[in-house]
Amino acid sequence: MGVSSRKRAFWIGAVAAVIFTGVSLRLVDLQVARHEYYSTLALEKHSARQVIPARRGSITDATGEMLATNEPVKTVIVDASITKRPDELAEVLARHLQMPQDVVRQKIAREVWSAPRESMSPSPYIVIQREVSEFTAEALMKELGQRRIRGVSLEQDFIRVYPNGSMLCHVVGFMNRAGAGVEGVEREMQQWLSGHDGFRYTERDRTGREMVAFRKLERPARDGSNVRLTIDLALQDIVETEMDAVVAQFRPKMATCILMRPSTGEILAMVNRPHYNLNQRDGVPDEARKNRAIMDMIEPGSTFKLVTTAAALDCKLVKPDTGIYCEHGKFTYAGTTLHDSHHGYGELTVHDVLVKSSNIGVAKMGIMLGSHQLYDYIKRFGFGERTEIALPGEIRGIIHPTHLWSKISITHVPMGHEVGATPLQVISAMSTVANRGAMMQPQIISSIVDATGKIEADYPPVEVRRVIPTEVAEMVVSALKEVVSKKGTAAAAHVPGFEVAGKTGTAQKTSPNGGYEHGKYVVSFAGFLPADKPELCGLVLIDDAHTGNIPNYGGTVAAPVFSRIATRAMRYLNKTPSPEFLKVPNPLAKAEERKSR
Amino acid sequence: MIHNRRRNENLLPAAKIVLFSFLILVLGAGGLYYVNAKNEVHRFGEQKKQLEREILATVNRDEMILARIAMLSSYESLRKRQQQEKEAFAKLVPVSDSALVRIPVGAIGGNASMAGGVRASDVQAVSNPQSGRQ
Repeated sequence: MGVSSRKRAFWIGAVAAVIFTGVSLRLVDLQVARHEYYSTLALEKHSARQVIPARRGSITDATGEMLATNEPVKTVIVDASITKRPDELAEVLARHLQMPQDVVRQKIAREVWSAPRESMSPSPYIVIQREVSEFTAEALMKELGQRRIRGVSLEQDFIRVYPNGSMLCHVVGFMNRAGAGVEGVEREMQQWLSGHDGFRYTERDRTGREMVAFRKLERPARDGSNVRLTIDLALQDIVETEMDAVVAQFRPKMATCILMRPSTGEILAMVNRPHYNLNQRDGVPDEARKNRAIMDMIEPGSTFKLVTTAAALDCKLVKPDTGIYCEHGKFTYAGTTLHDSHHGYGELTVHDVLVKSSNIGVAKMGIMLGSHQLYDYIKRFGFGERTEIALPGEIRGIIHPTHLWSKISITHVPMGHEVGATPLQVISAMSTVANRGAMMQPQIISSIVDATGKIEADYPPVEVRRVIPTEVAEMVVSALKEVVSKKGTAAAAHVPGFEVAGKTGTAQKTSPNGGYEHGKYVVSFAGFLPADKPELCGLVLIDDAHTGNIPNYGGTVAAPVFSRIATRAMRYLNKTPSPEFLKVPNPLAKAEERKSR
Repeated sequence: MIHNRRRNENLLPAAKIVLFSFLILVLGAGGLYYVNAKNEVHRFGEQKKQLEREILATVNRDEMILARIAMLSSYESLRKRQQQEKEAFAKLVPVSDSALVRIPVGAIGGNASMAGGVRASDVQAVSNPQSGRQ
């Protein structure tokens, strides 16, 4: 009895020891050996990282007019794994989202491979529709809540809207689907505009609902900053309507107009034709998307003569009243004959060479300067260099180094041939003269402000360099004033009440195959007003205008456009006209005269 | 003697019972309080989440309305509206530059032959007739 009870006790003890050892081993296995695996699994099941989306900053003009902003929208998601009544759900979704019911049903019925179950199972993440308006999403969720239909969630999203559509499209630019700026300010200021998404680690209960009490690390989103441009949308509107009129009248291949404030270098308006609507970009040709003001190269033609004249005056090779014999319109140099476009002139003063836009006169000034000095001044006026405006894709233009010049280059470069310049470079050069020789960096960004309106970054005017002394600039301005008179080539650029200074340009179009295209011209007018204290500098450039009976010159096609734009712009800027320059015929006086007779 | 022994045997440890009961009560109340506090935390968490949702919805609605206002009050949409209303009841006639004149301040109120007391010679056009499109 004693032996058997001891045996029994032994076996019971042994079995118990085996059981406890097994349990202990399993515990060690779960808690120690596979701890990492199970804790990760638990974390995945119950923990989640929520992204708190940052809002992209807006883009406004100088007066705060909205150019690009965000519209909050929702993405409707269905978790088919927890949907109990798919047909009813499909009916509600289709009605609210205005989708065919069959399409919604097909989407909900989609199955995906489930690794844990090793079979196909209903998808837990089905995008039903994107960019659903807040009101629609709200109404949808309300009805689903009332009918106790589960399985639908909303994800926050934003779409970029451009309230002014096609206005200023080349400057504002747009974004891709990933939320990155592709063109214009949207691209250039991406770092400021984009902001940083925030995040939050949370825990979920077994039904997937967030347990707010167990929120862990959290970092709020940092919204993007707002970018304020130097553009004035009222001026932009004036230029846009006038350029539309140009397109309707002349059907040019392209047209560009820029308005700039000479004293600061601020760009006030920038318009290109062709253009496109920022809210409807599908199918827009690349040509329409191009910001020609900074990406296109043209031969500036006669507007370039101010560079040569300023250089010759600054080098003290000539004075404004120095006479230059203009060969009666025909000048042969290095075997090539140069002509003056309108009339042949005998002797002209340097002042009149610019007023009459004599090719031979400036060619002779070029010869006096020599290639190296001329090249140096061309560079100082900013040609062949990027202006560093805050817009993507700006090109340098082409100024060949002097060792690549041909024998006749010294007569062609002074009048703006064999030179490739962007419209922005041309207006920048004119603006330098308007600013009495001090070159300002063209600026398109005024400031960066945060959501509360606090300025985060400011862009004060930057003087790039002094190109010519003030007195030389005054001499050039004096001639440019006379260009816009009956004596000069741009009487049509006159603005009643203001003295305008400027220069016309008519350049034959260069052919992509070399040489020039017959009968095709790029005409331009660059000018500023009031001439003595410039508030506004403008460039109108029209490529291949179909002018009909009107001669296709800068003075007859581009100058009138400048006059119309500047007239309206000065009225908008509330600049007081000077009676001295109100020299246009009075339409009412004629009527009165007729009446009195 | 016997009486004394019986009295000793039937004596209840009242102090201990009270102490244990108190401890049980304290522990029970503590437990209940803990459970209640937990529930409260969850309830407030839900409230917080609800409030966050409402704030977000309000902010979104506000932003959406601002975007719509910006769209409707933009230059482009005003121009479109002007085009539409040209053909509708409120016909807008654009005033061309050639129809605008500038009158010097000193010229107003004189004994002039012209209506409004302004001499014809004082009236100046605002646009350049040579600039073509009027």
